[in-house]
Amino acid sequence: MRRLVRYVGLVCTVVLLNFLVPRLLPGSPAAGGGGDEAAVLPSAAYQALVATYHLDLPLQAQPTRYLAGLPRGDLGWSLTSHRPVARIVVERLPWTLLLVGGAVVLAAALGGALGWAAAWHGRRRAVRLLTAATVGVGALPEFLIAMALIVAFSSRLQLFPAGGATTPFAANQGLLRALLDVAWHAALPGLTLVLGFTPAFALLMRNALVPVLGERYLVTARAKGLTSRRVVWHALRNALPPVATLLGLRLGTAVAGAAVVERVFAYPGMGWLLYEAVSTRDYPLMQGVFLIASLAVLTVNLFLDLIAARLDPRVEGQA
Amino acid sequence: MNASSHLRRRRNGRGTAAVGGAVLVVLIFLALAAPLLSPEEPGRIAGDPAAPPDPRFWLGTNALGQDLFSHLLYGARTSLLVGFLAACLSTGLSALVGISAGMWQQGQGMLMALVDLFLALPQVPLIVLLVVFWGPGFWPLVGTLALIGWAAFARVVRAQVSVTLRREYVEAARALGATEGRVLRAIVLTEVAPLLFTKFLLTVRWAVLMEATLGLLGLADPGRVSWGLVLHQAFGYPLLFLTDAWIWWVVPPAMGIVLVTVALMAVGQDVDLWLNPATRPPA
Amino acid sequence: MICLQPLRPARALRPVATFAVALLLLLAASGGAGALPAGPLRLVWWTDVGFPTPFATSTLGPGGVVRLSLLYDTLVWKDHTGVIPWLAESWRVSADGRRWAFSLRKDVTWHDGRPLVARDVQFSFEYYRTHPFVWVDTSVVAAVTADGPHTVTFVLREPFAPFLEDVAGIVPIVPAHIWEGVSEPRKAQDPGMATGSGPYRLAEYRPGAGEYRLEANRKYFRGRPRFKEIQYTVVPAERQLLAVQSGQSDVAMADTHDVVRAFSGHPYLRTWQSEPLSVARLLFNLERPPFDQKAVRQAVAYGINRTQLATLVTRGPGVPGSPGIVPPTDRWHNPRVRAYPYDPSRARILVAQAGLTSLSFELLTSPSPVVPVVQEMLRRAGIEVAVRTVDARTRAALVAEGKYQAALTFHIGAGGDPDYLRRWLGGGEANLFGQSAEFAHPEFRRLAAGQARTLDPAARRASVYRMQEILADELPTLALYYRRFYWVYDSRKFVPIATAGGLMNGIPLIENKLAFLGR
Repeated sequence: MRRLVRYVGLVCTVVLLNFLVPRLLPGSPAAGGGGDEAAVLPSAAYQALVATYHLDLPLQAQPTRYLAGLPRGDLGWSLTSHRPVARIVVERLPWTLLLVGGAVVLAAALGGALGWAAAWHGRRRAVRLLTAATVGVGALPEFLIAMALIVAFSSRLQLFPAGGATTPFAANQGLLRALLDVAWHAALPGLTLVLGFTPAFALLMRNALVPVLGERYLVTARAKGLTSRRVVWHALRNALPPVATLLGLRLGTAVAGAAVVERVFAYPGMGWLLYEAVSTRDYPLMQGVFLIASLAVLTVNLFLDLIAARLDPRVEGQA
Repeated sequence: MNASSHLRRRRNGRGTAAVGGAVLVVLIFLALAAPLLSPEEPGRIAGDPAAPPDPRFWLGTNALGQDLFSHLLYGARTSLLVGFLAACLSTGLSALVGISAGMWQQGQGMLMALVDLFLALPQVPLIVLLVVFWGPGFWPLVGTLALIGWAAFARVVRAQVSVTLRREYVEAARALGATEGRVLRAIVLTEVAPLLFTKFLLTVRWAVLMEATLGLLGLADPGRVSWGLVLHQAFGYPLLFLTDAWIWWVVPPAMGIVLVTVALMAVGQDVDLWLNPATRPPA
Repeated sequence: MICLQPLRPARALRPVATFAVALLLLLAASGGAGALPAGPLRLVWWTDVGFPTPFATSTLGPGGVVRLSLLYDTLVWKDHTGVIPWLAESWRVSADGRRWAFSLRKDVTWHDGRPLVARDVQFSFEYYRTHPFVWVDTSVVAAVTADGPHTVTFVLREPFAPFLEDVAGIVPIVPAHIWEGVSEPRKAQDPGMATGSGPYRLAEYRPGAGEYRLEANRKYFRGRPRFKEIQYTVVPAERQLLAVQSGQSDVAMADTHDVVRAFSGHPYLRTWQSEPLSVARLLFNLERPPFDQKAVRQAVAYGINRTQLATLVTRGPGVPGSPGIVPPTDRWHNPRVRAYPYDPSRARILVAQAGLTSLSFELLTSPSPVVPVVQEMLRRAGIEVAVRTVDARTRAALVAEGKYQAALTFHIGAGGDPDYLRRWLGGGEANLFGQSAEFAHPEFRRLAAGQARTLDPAARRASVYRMQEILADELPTLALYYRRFYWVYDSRKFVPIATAGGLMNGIPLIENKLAFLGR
């Protein structure tokens, strides 16, 4: 119960922050132009934009409109694309969940396996090399991995598309074809993300296992050559909580998307959307995406807390 | 575990760690000595734009004709400093908040609420937002990364502390009258230290990476050569991938980043073994 | 010299096959041969540009408004010679320059089959009065009357020399029967709302993905369009050249000259360069020291080697900035303005004359490769530059609030009707580039207002020339260099055409719809 109260408090704080933070940025959303190539916006159009979106209202008056809309699922209108923020989010969210969420799960599985191997067979050269390679590749900026993959697999070998979430304007595909098309397009950006996410899981898994494996009876068991189910289970029980926590956190943040990868691959996800909203000062869009992303994380956290409490009743008393 | 296997294990770890440490020392030396070692001032337009390597410009020049080898050295300086500073600050914060929350029952709710708040805000956009707010620069970057990077691990640390405190031997120690300070020092720190070390490693890696990522997004401090800035300028060069330019322009700073990470990781393995109560050699 | 060969086109692999044989093919690389199939024209831009109506399209760059020109028509259009008839087959202007009468073509229909008539033109301009077109100001139009089904007369508030090129040539005519009664046109984004009269019609738009499919308007009054279909997709700038080289798109954009050399030996990819319509310039804050003194601004001009800068940054034959702002390639360019040849010692003397022992200032900028070069050049002239880097919007806000000493800005639009000299320095336009910094020079303001009212070409030229002289002498802003946009395109698909002064008001894009029409 107290936990719920705390989460409600957090949600309120987040909503408030979401309103305030974007507006602390210098610069107006109504000024035309973005990058170097932008041209000039006439003042009449500027005034109209200001009026349409009530940017001329004082800062104190703006949140009432925003808050009044929230319960109805009205997140306001984007100042740059003039579409409802809620609809934009609904369009983008599935792509991000698919791409980033999928990559997180894959990375957790891969990283977990790798960490497991590193802990149990840490002295084997192959395992060490593999771990080092994973960490090394994972250390590269996503942008770099992405471009390398594009150059190799898209431009030269032409095996995978360089961008987009689906083949543009492909009509009348069967469901299977459509699904494969989606997977085909997600392959390179997904791989980029998996490479980036894996090391954290591997390291965490290994470091959580190593102390357990040193425990006396496990050492004895291993000395006897036993890897009985009980030993494995004991090791897992110690290693899983931190790994599961990381997985949960990463899944929660997946909703915010992966700005860099989505941009390079022109993937229509939440991350790039939010980045553009920040750089164009599209307040309602920024708010909307931040809100959804924050709520997702909070929900995951609540969930993790509840699971922790379920697994270990003593946690409840402390919360 | 018998003595010989233990020795083998330590030697093995030490070998890796020695190599990792040596690499780090060399990198740090190169970074510190950049002004002495660089053949050119990083800002000086010394040659033709986008020239391939030659005896004078070992790694060729960038699109403005600045020496890329000098940029590599100066870049190491900035990127490593960002990484270490941000990692130190944020690991400190993680430890402080995580251990406090684990040990101090009354404050736990409040501290964890703070953690949750930080965790709830999406990371990369928040960093972008903060950097936009403060303007691209060295200290804003370090500050932002430190501020964003601590929360997730504070949670992990708290979890570890809670688990540890519930271990039978801790409860026994407490029952035998061990003070909280002693419990903290003797048990929690040793159990938490490996985690924190992992956190430190991950954060150095993450911070060096974020520096590069922000650089690629065009948010690096343009007045201070860093690996991120070098990469950003490389990607601004239209023929980067249509010619061989990427080999001497992108690969060296990328390898630098990889080297830092792998070296840290190698050092980490040994320190990990030493710090872990389970694997620590008997005194 | 770099010479790029085409990548061998790979077989069109199905996703199914890809997954199955990906690993094998890694080794087998690519094979197959033959020309690209004659499919749709595949154009690219680096962002989504919004729903393609004159109200909702993106103003973040010229991509949106140029795309509109494929869907909508204007009264007049431009080719390499200048203004040509389009929806209007002829026009007359009254002696006082306030009444413009246009005769419309009689064979124009909207995409839904209804005829385009004078009433639509009248409606468009009346509608834009309450719902402004995002790209240009139409407030100079006082009244529009449809005198018959195909005759329309504009009455202007005052004579307006740029009217033909900057209003009649830019403002899209929208169908009255679609927009009548629509109160929030920005938000009206049902597919049918994008009904225009242009050579292509909107078949599909996927927001977010930024994918547009345009179909040929077979009943187009200028003849059947060249392509059955035009597709626009989003390709980020850094991989546009890769995309065109590997056959994944038909155009790519770059802003440096080395691209021309790189593709010069290519069998079918060619480069097309725009006029130098994008300008990089310094804005001086005339109200704060040190740039409230003319001598100090001039010192900076002498301290920067603009020719070297232009060549260095554009990596080719650069176009150095003219102190009079109008590019040297433009027919309105005054070649006899004060030139400020590179002279660091002169810069030192001017600083001393201004009563300063040394000059240092803060340069407000968003990240740009130009900055360190300018900094280095000025250092050699004894001028210290402290760089303050912010993002573009922050820069705009700080400039608008006057919180800067000098700022660096890049933007397109230095072409077409020279009225931009008035607009940029008049303080009226809201934009990212600090044109809101007003230049309060009395003679300049008088000339600026006067030239816009002067229809006589010779008299107008005299005014515009004089304005450039004043700008060059006073230097409220210093043009550093001009940029061309370089487009790599598949010559088997189309041949780009030059547009005098750029599309509309100085837009260096390749998509003049004349190139996408049949011959």
